[in-house]
Amino acid sequence: MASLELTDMQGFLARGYGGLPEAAFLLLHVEEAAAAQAWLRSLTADVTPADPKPSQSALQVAFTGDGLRALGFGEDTLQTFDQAFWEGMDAPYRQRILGDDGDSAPQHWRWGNDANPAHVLLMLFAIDAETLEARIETVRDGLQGLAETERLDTTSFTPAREHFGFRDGISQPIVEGLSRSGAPENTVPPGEFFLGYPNAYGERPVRPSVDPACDPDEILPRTKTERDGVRGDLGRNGTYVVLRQLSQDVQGFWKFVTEASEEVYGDAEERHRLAAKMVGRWREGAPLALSPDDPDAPARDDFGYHEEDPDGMKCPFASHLRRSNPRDSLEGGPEESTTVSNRHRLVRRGRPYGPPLADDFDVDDMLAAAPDEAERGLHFLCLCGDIARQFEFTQQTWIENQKFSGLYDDPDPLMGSPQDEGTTFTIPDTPVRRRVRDMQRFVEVRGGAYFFMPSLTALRFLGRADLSA
Amino acid sequence: MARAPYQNGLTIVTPVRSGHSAPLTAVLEEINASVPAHDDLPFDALTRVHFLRWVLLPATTDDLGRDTKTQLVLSTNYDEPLTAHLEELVDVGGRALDRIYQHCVGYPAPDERSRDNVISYLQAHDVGYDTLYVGTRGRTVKQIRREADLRAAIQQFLDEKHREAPSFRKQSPTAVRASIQDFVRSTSKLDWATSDPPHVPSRWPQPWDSMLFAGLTTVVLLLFVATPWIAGSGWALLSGLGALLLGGGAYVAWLRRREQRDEEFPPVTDHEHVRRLARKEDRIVQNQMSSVTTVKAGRLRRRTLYTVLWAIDLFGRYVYTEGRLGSISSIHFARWVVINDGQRLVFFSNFDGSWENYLGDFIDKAASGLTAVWSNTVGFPNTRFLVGAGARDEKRFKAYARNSQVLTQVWYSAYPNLTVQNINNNSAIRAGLFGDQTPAETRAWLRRL
Repeated sequence: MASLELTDMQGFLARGYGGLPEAAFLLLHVEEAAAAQAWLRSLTADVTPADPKPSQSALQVAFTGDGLRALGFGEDTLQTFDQAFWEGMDAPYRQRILGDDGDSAPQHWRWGNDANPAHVLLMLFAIDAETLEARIETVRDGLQGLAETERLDTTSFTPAREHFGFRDGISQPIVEGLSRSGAPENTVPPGEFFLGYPNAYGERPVRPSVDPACDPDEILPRTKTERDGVRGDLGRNGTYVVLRQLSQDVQGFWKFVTEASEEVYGDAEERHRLAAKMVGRWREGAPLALSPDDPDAPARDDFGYHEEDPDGMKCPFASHLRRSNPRDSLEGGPEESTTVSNRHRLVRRGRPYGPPLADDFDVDDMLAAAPDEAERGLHFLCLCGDIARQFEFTQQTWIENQKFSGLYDDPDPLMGSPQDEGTTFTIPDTPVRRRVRDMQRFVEVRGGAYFFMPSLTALRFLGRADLSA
Repeated sequence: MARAPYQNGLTIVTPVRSGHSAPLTAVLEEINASVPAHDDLPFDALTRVHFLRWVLLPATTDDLGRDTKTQLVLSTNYDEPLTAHLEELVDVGGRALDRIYQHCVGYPAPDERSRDNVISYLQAHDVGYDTLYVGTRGRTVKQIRREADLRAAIQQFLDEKHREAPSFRKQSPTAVRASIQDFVRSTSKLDWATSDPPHVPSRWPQPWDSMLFAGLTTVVLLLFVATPWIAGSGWALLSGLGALLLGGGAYVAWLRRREQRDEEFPPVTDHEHVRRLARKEDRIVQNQMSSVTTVKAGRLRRRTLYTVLWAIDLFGRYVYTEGRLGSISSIHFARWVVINDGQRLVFFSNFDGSWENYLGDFIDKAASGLTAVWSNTVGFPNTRFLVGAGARDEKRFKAYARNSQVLTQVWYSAYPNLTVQNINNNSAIRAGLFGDQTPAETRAWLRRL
């Protein structure tokens, strides 16, 4: 297998910067293309590569389809990207795929829609708050041809946790060629996340490219394409980044779980069990499939469902964990299921935002907290090589699909958008299932967009190219 | 026990009168906007129709310069017998049929139109199918709807029981099942469920299958009887085998040569076309796909296609009878029909979930079969020995699938909220409701709820 060109990739492809706990994301709007390109030229030297690993701070940059249009890309060039990318996350029929309806519909978003389109995403990571602010100041001072439209702050919790109180970021696919290694059933080829490398089908699919006339200095490597002959290879060592601002109704969630546990377990104290059934892990990360009754068991990720829990008696089929990665439990046997699951994986790099409702995440404290104005949630971030086959597939076929795994009316109990009355959460049990009725929506979408995160070479090209050629 | 009715597929292909495509499209769009309750065709009153669609096939010219005009296809999946289906279609939707087929060649003029000659018109244009797959074998529309009601009522009962007397959870599985049985017996609208469940046929013979089996049996018997004679004349045996090998070898050589020469399409789609298709998708639990492709030139290609379709049809009837095609459990009905004297191949399917998932299943789980079929049509990804490569070229195959898809003008599903897995599980719930069970069987049955 070809080794990864880490010095040409942005660092975010290889790591989520766990060691740089402070982070902020700036959304920029291109006001004047030539000035913006000049700014990009000066920025490129500061963009952090995947190798070497930074110790103090990092800067990454990515573009939406609208952003590339604003920089001068024609539709012909844009259409060499994924259709989902150049159409945008807010394209009308996409709402049915993603479940973005009601308050989560794009017209209500704060950003990422027609009213406030995102063009450029700058991600800044730092070891501490001062370093972060200093870098943001430097970036802002140098800004030209672009206007800052949003600053998305993040919060870091140790250990990594989301606002409902659950440990997060435990399960990730292992990408062949990066330093981390592990079980083969959790390992996927680099092309699933990095453009230009073989993917899970053993192919190197067509990737973003430009007419060589736009690149007379041959900044971009050349690639041969079937339809258009020799092209400038814009995609190589890049990736697609999905960003969604998901606001979480923490009190609503725990109120619902408390009341529902009274109903289905006859005991409000069982709310931790019910919440774990919904998530698929106990609060501290122990997977139900391995530890159905021990909340303090280790937060392992090396398990399957086929042997451990074929009937969902431990970890319900409807749980968030099973749907976000069904592992070996889909139809067709464990081997085929693992192969299929691994063709729809995401590298998740999200960060929470907003203050915790209670510092210790104690449920009683969170329920007792005075209602505040603060918004809290998750800046969901993931990488994929194919937006439709990975992110949108996962969202539509697993998360939002009430029929997942032979179910009837069960949305994802945590992240789903129950659309109509009569939705349920089915908990397999003896002698017969328990069932929570009328599920609610606890997570609303406040903004989102698909970004292309180019390689450093492609960034140099974007700063210099005469895109109108 | 009564023989259960079989589901079957009707495909009616009619040429559209020249200049009538636009008004016909308008009528179809108007009807589609009011599915399932259009005044001229109240779909839900069709008691024997599982799925129904009208699709306009664009005009085409093949490489021999033969023109085919725009055609209208009506495709239904219905409960047998066919005459009852056609009669109901005309009785319930006669006005819609008139409005639609007045734009087609040969439809009876208003003054000579009658129930009988409309039915004859439809029958005269029935082209059947080459392959039909049924994921919900042997279940009528009525049974599918009633069993869904039964399951919902039992679930409701369990919820109430749980609320009123939580201690009921301490009972044995057998006792829980008994209380469900009591509930069903005491509920008059579920009366039907207390009688024997209808027989689900495990296979679905066609007359020509019996001929095939008779033929095979004869050959085997003849060989058996003739063995002493063959043994006595080794020369005859050898030359027979040799002829067979020569014939097979020649076919493979021909196929391989063609495979190396055939052109494949680049993995590129018409984005506007994809958008038009996607706008119609993901409205209900199921989705549909209508695709039309051009069969590659040459008699041997056509023969290969017919043979593969025939073999898959046979597999569908005798092997994949439990609601799974291999390990794909999301297909309600699918069919391939070769039309226009072997020039074009039409594919219609009704499936659960997203297009992306459906195509993923095709590639991950059914690549060989689909490659063997579609590699006989123009533009398919390159193949090796009929079943190799082909659909496994993910991007190219997905692009091929999108490009060969056509808009489905009218589409109706009799049970838009049920998946194949739901339907089959509902039948299993009903089948296990009464009758003897071991405790293990009862535990497994309760897990279906």
